[in-house]
Amino acid sequence: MTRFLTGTALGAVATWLAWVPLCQYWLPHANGVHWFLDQAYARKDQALATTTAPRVVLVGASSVAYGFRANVMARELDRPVINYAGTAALDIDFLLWRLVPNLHAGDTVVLPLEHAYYGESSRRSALCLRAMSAIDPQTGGQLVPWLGSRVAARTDPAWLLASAPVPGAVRREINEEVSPLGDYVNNQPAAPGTAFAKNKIERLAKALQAPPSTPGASPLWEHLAEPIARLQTNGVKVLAAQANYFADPAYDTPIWQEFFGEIAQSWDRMNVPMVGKPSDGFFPEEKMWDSRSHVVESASEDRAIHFAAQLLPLLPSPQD
Amino acid sequence: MVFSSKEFLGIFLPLVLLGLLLCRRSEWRRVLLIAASLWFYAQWNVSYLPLLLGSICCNWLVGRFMVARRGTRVGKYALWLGVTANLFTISFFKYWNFLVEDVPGVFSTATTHQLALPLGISFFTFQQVVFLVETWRGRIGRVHPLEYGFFVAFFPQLIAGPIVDYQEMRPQLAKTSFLGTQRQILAGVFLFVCGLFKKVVIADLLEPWVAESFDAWEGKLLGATDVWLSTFAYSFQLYFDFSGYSDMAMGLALLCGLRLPANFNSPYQATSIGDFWRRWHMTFGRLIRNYLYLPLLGSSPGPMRMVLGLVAVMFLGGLWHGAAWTFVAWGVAHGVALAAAMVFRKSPLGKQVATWAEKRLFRLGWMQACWLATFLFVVLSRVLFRSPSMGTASFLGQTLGGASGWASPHLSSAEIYWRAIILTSLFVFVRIAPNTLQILQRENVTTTVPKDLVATRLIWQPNLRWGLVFGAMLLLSVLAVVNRDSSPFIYFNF
Repeated sequence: MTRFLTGTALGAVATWLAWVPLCQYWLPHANGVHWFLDQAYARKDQALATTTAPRVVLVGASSVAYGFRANVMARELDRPVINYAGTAALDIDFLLWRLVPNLHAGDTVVLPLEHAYYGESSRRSALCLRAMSAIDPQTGGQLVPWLGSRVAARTDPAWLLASAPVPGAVRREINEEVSPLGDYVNNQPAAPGTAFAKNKIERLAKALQAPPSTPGASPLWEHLAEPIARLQTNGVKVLAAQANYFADPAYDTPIWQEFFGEIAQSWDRMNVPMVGKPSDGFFPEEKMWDSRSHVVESASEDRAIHFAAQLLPLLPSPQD
Repeated sequence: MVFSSKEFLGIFLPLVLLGLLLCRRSEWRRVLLIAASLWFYAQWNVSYLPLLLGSICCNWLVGRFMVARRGTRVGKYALWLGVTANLFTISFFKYWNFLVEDVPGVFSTATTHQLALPLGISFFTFQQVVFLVETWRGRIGRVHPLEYGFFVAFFPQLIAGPIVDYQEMRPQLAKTSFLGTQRQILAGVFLFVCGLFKKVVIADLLEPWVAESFDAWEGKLLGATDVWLSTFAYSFQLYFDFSGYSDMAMGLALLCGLRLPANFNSPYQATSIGDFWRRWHMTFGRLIRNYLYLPLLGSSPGPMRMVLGLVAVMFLGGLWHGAAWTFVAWGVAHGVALAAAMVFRKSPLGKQVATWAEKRLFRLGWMQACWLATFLFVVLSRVLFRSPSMGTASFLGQTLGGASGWASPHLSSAEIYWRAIILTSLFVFVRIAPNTLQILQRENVTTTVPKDLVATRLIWQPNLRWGLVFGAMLLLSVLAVVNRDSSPFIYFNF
C-alpha cells in the first residue's frame, strides 16, 4: 500500500516534469487558435520592426483585426498603420506591454476594444496563456509567473495529441489570412444560400446579450493603467474607440447608452480620449461577415476611411 | 453526470465514498447506495426517475407474484405480462418514432413523440426481463425489495451495463458489507483510473477525427484517406470508450465491495466473428445467446435454422443498439458473417482447414489471416454503426472504395502521417497489450472469468512499479478532465 502510494506520487511528479517541457515544445506546432495567433503576430511584429514613428497601431480583438484596413488608413493618414489586434481571448495588457519597448514618441496607439473586455474579466484564459507562451514567452512570463507550468496545467492531453501534427509541418498559408500590416483578410461575403451565409444569419438573429453591468468598475482599467502610463510617458499617444458590431436596435436602449457613457467616462479618467461615437462602428446585416462583430471586406475599408478622417485631427503631427 | 465529469469525480463519488465510510451497518450502506444511484440517474433527467422507479417496482411485484404462482398458468401469464410491459415501454420510447417515420405503411397514420430516450433503458429493461424469465424458470426465489432495487439501480451498471444476471449478484449481495476491502479498493481505484484514462485521454482524442467524416461530410469533399482514417479512428474510439466505461463500472463496484461480470476481453484480438462476440460487450452477447438464439434454435436445430437464427438474432441485436436502418444493416451484416463462418466451419473445406491447422506453421499463418479478416470486417462494419443515415453510410462506403479519389482534399500530408502514427500505435496496443482483466486476474475483480482469458506476466500488484504507472495515468486523466467538458459515453445512446 505505502509503496503503491509512493509510486503514485513519483509517477505523477515524473509525468508532470515531462509534461511541462513537452507542452512548451509541442504547443507552438499544434493546430489551434494559438498557432494562428503566433504566426499572425510574427507578421505584425515584422511590420512594426520595419516602420518608424510616427505610426498608428490598432490594438483590440478580432472585430478590429477584421474590421479596419491598415493599408487604407495609412494612405488616408500618410503614415504607417499596423493592425495589432488578434482575438478577444488575448489580454490587452499583454499586447500593450509588448508594444512598450517598440513604440516611440510620435506613435499612436488606438484601442477600439470589444464590449466583452469591459466586463468581469475572463483574464488569462487557457487560450490566452497558450497564445502568450507561443507568441512571446518572455513578456508572458513577466506577466504570469510560472507561465510554462500554468500552460501545461491547462492543456488537455487528448487535445494536444489530436491537434499536433508532425512538428514543422506546413499548414494553411498565413499570408492568405493576414496582410503584411496585420489585417485579417479572408472576410469576403459568402454567396447567398450557402451554409456559411445561413449560419451567419442565424448568428446575427441571436438576441443581443445585456452589456457588462458596471464597465467603470471592470478590472480592465487596473490592468491597462500601467502599460498605458508607460506608453504615455514615452511620448506615445493613446486613444480609444468603438469596435465594429452588428447594428442591433438594442444599442439604442437606455441600458446600452448608459454602458457607452460609462466607458467614455472611464477612458477619460485614464486620460485617453475617445475617437468618434459608438454608432460609428455599427453595420447592417449585409455588411456583416461571419458573426455579430466581424464585417466584410468592403465595410472594413469604409470603416478605415471614416475612422482615419476622425483620427487625423487627434494625431500628433510628424514634427511633434 | 458521467463517470468522467467533474461533478461525478469532484462531488458525487467523494460524497458516496464518505457516506459508505461513515455508515456502520451494511443495511445503511445499501440504502445509501440506492439513494445515490437514484440521485445519479436524476441528474440526467429527473422527470424520468419515476419511470425507473416504476419499472423496478412493477418488475419486482411481477417477480414476487410469479414466485407465489410458480408452475401455474397464472404464473406464466404474469411472465408474459411482465415481459410484454417491459418490451412495450422500451418500444414506445426507443422504436415508436422509427416505426412511424422509417417503416413504410406500418404506423403511417400515427404521430411521433418528442420524448427523449430514457438513459439506460435498454440496459435496465433487459436486465429485468432476464430476471423475470429466470424467476419463472424457478432459478430465483423471493427477493427483498431493497435487494432488487439495488440490483437494478446500482449506479455503476445502471446506464450502460454490464447487463447483470441476478443469479451472479445474489451470492455477493447476501454477504457484502457494501464497502470494499483495502485491496479491493486499491484494485478498484486502479481499474477506475485505467478506464478514465481510456475514455478522456484516448477515446476523446479520436472524436474530432471521427466527426470530420461522419458528421461533417455534407458539402465537404472527402477522399478515401479521410474516410479510412475516420473509420479506424471510430473503431478505436468505440473500443476505448466502451472498454473505459466497463473498467470504470467494475472499478466503482469494487469500491463498494462488489464484482460485476466481465464485459470486455480484447475483442480486437478475435480470430473469428464468433470469437469477437465472445469478447466484445460480453454480457450483451450472453443475453442474446441465452435468451434469443438458443430458444430460437430449439432442441435439435438444422443448419438452415441455425443460419436464420443467427441472422435474426443479430438483426434484433442491431435494433437493440438503436432504432435506425443503419443499426439494422450493421446487425444483419454481423449475422450473415456469423452464419457464413459457421457454414464454412461445417463444410468439407472448413474441416480440411481445421485438419491443416493442427500443423504449427500453417496454424500460425491461418490464425493471423483469420484475425486480420475479422478485424477488417469489424472495422468496416463500423461505417454502418456510426453513420447517421443509410445515405451517409452509402456515401462513405463508396468513398472508402476510392470513388472520390484517394487523396485527402483538406488534410496535409503531415496531418495524415500524424493520425496514422496515433492510430497505428493504438492498433499495436489493442493487438498485443494485455487487458485489464488479464492484468488484474489475481484480484478476482469480476463474477465471470472468460474461458479464453490468456495469462500474462504483467500482473498488477499494489507496488512501486504499478504505482508509477497509476500516477502517470492519473495525472494525465486529471489534466484532461479539468480542461474539458465531459463528453458522454457512446453506449449511453443505446
